[in-house]
Amino acid sequence: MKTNERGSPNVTAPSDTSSPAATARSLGDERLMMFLDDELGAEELAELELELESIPELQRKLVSLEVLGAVLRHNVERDARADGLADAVMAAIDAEDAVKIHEKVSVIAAERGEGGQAQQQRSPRREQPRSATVSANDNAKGGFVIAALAVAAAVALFAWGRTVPTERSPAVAALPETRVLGEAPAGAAAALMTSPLKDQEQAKNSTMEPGVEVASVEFGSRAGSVFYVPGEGTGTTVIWINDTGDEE
Amino acid sequence: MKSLFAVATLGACLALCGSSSADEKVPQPGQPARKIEVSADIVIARGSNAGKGIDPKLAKYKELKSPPFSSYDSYELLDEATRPLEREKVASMKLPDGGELKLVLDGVEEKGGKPMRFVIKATIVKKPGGEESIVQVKAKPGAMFFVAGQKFENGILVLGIKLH
Repeated sequence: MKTNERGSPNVTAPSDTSSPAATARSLGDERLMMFLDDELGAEELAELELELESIPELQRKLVSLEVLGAVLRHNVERDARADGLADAVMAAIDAEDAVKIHEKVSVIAAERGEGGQAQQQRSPRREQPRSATVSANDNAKGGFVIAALAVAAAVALFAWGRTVPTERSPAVAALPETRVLGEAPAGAAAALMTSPLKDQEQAKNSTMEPGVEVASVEFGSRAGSVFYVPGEGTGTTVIWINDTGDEE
Repeated sequence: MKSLFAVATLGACLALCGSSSADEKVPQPGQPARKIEVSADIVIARGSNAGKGIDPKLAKYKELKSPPFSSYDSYELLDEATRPLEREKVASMKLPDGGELKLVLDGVEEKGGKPMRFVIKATIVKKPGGEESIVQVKAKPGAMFFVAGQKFENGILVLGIKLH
């Protein structure tokens, strides 16, 4: 796991844009994380979106961070179910973050799909002002969430360590190569985003540990999406290929 | 910055936490892995908007009524098969669109001598020499996953794979 780049102090516009790779590195993960947390200002957001459209490395990094976050959340949520205190903490976090995260994934997916056809479109979600009731920069809430995440992550890792794979965990090892997001089939993303996560109970159902975890996926030149569909038992994992049918 | 702190915490915990416990069975390097028989049940279906509903043979797959499958209103069973999987050996199956599904067992996570999760790589080749989609998953025994969306006869191809 690459944690050495995450502390990059460079959160302003990159000074060296001579190569996409240099740009992506200079951006650091911090800005991407701020992006994922909706903490970027409008100007920074617009700038980052432009760079995301043109720098594949940055896109991959963003997707990797998103997937890493999903893995972390997944483990946290799994252990939260077995721990009353953590359960209460995670329920509060879920209520705030779950919908936001799914929307963000879908927005990225929509913009990335179909060979960049949708790249010039701006998502309504991005253009909306931040909610007056949910502030990502609320310091008091932030401190609580950080502490909760730290406790929950420790619990999750304890359990994770008990099911160590026989080989290096592909869930982590393969993340940099993961290309997960793309345009979902018509109506599917919207249905997944809005229906299961509207209330606490549904959110809890949707966070059931999946029976199948996607460690890595490569769609070639096509785009695609990964869905964890809530359902009975462990739910179902669906890898959806956006096939334009060009080869037929 | 929540994610930043979460990831930082994750990294710190990874460094501090031991990765093994007494009841885990992790083969040491160079030690031959114990052979576990693994096989894959494969279901091949076609989704379309033909208005015919879901084939009764597929009725047990409730997922077909939910997104993203609900983008199509009809599903028909095309083929079913079971393939034994061996570590690092390719098990393949021809697909109705002329493509091929290749499955490789990459590893088995065990706990207390029981397989907990299978790590497999599935490659879908659209047609010989054509586009490939490669996915690596970690699947619990009996859990099913789907790879779908590939265009096929005015609809899509749906591959369901269950390992046991």
